[in-house]
Amino acid sequence: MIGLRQYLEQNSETKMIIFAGKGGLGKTTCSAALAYHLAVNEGKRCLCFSTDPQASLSDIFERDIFGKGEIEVAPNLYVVEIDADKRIREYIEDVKRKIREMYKMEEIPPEIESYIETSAVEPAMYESATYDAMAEYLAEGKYDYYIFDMPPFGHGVRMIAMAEILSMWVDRITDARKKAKEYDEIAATLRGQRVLSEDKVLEELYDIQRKLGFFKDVMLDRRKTAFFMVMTPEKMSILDTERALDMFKELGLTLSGIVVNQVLPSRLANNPSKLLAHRVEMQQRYLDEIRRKFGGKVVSVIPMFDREPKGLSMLGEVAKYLVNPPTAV
Amino acid sequence: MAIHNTPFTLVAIGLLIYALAYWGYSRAIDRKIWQPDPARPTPAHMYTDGVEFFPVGRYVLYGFQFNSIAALGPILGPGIALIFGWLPAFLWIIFAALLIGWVQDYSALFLSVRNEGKSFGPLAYELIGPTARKLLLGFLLFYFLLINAAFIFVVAVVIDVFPSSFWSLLFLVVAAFITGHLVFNVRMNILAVTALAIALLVVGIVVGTLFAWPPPGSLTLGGKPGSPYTLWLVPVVIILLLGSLLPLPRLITPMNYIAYYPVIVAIIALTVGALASPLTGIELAVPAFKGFEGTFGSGPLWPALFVAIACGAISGWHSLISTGISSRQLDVETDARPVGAGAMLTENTVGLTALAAWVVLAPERVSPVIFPQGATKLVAPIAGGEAAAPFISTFFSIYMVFMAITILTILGRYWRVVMAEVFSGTSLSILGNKYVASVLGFVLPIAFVLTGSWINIWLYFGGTNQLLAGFALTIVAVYLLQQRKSASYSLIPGIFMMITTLAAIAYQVYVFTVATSQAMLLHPTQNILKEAAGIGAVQAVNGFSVVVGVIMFILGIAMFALLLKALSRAKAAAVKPAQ
Amino acid sequence: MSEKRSGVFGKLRDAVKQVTYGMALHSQVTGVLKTRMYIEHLFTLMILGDMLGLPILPPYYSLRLLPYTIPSIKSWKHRFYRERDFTDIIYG
Repeated sequence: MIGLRQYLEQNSETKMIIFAGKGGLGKTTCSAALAYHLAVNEGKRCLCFSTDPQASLSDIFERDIFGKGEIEVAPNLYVVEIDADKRIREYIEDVKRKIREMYKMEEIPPEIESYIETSAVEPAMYESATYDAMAEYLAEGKYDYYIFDMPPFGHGVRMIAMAEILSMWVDRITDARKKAKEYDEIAATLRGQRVLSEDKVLEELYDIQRKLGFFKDVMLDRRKTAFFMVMTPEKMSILDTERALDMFKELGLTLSGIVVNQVLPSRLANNPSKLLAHRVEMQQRYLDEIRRKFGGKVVSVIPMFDREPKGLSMLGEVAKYLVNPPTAV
Repeated sequence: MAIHNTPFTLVAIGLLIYALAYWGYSRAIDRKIWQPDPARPTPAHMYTDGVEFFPVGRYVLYGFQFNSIAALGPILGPGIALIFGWLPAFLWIIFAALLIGWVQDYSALFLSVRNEGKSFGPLAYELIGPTARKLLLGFLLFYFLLINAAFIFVVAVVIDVFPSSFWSLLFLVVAAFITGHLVFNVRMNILAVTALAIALLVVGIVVGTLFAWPPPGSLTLGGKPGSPYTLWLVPVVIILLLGSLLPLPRLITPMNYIAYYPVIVAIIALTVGALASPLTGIELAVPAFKGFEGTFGSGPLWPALFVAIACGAISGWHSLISTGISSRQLDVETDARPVGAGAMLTENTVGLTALAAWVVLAPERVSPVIFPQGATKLVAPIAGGEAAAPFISTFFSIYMVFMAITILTILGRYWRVVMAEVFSGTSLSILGNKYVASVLGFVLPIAFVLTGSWINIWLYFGGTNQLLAGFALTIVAVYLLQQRKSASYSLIPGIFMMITTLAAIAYQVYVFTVATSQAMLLHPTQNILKEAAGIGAVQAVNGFSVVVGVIMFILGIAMFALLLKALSRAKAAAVKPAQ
Repeated sequence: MSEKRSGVFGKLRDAVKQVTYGMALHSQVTGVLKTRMYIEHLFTLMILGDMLGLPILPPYYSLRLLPYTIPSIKSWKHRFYRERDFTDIIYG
């Protein structure tokens, strides 16, 4: 077990760090703690990004940052909490405004209006809006590290599959569009004219392509992106992690490491409280299983704290466990 | 010398009649029956999509319509008609030009314009019924086989007698690839590309003429020039397959573009040559009238004459272009006459000038190759004389070859798509496969070619072509009756064409049946097949033609019956007072 | 095409030019336009497939492109739903 600091030293090209795993296991805490460590202790510009309004960065940093863009909560430490619903609403309004402007319409044709409205409430829109925001930050390239607290859907792994499909789709559309433009030019040549106007659609497509392509390239590049699973020493969590590992394999990805969270100190095994003693014993059993099953993958072990992990000083505490090789627990 | 005995007289009288048809009869019909209203929006305006539906000026559309309807028909038909002498041929051409030919093109165009720009199939469906459309589909499949057969036959024979035209054709294909590349990939200026392409064509003619290898007939089985049993069929079919399989812009689009120029030059040259004939001293060599009987192969004057001169007089193909293509681009209703009637009368002129080229020679046996020889005789005196004659022959032979090849490649593609439509999803879906269908489309016609009997194939083709025209004319009549308008100007020619063509097809079935059952050779060239594979093979080839003819006849009769029913329905409805 | 000329000769020149274009090039131009239309419709389908009941990818980026497809939606639907007849396809 090497700890995250050593991992990042060994993988010096890493730009993006993604924490995945079920909700409530401490993904957000890990993201925030790592970002805190890299920004405050190592002086790197970090962006910590979250979409999950339940385990929110707002809580951890004790500031309302939801839907407010990039907020600097400590030197070099920037935090974003996306309000996907708001983003979708703005996006939709943008599309409608564009239609009205492009065609000088007072009202959007009802058929199109209702098409847009139904699209807006599709569940996939929520995910897409999130990914788009991530891709946008990544494409801007302002930070040394991007730390993403993945939303809990599908272990966040689906995002990768989606990025790939999406960029294929954009490539196909772009090809079709280029062909269409080519034929326009041929028709113009035959008529003895020239086409001068640039295709606006192609411009949009190139923009999407650039963003998605960059996102996908970074995400699929082992050297640039690290995926960490966060788990707890419990049966359910072990099963989930096994499943996630299979999914990773299917997508041709490698899991960079596993963080075991909420571990009770082993010394509590002798605690007079039967409940605690049993829990510790159970955890130790599962920790053995974890070592057996994912031994090489475990990079950090974070103990259960006596307080909620909130505030910068507490994050510093968590970070110590996260970035250093675990001592025996 | 006697001016009345020259092609001049034919062309001059013909042109006069055409002027009468355009400024007299067609104008009267236009005003009285269709009553074009410049304010009524045409489909081009109603459904504008900038692709299929968009308004185009009348000159452009006239040019397009003419280019799309012009093919081998008007050039070759008169040759067979000369079996009966030049007078019947001439009379039928001007009679049809005045009363039938433009009536079909123009009325079909107007019918579609008044019906949302619908094409022939949906119009048949709407006005006659669902069965009519199915019959039409089957009919068209065989129709295309027969066009392919007739045209491939001509190309093979012409190339065999004028090998120079093959090398020119090769130049055309190469020029087409180059032009396609320059226009579509490099996007060079179209004028520059055109100049280059025309230069290549001229070089092709000169090189072909000087090269003139191999000698005529040397690639022919049996060694007799002018036989369709020629190995030239192989490269020709390969070029056709390339055309129908490669993407349009690679070969067909540029090829049709380049081929347009020699066609226009040929038409002008023939017209001038014919009009100058009193000065050049070229006289009519064919007797005015040879009798009503004709030969065993052709059958009597009626119906043979009326199907022999196909597109130069009237052609069903044109109704396919008028509906569904031109009708969707007509700007205003008042353009229908210049486009529909104007283009057809120009096509009639092609037929007329072709007749002028045919009548100056009196060959023993009718063959497609007489045309370029006659055309050379007619034109050479005003275009460089003896020295230029070989080049002029090459030029007129490629005129025929180009006219055939350009339409054949388009038909090849069309056939392929229709086959896919007919057979996809059935147990015979393999027939709809791109490659299988393409090969079938050009190889099946070879079976007709092997009959060796150009006249019979041509009459089959003409019969189906004119029958389609009869359908179109009658469908127009059904519509007019529904609209409570006078329909006789279209109905009478329609019924006449249907009866005549069905009779012609029936007669040809009879000819092929006799040939099959009595193990007879239809044409001396079939001797080659007989020697190579026995009389059974000859019978099989002729029997194939019987089968196709019977199918065409049955489809035709069924359609005829449906049309008559639709007519009486329309009449009954028209008699009833409006509710 | 070019601006209108006046006078008998000018008009004649225009007419000859247009007839020439019509004979030589018009069918090639419409052929090219048709191919272009098929591509355009494919493009529209990829963006608006949902409108015809064909499930398409997440609509997020489609919506961004939607404004550009509006002019062709009508002809696209017209064509999609219209029965294509074999007599419609003679010239491609």
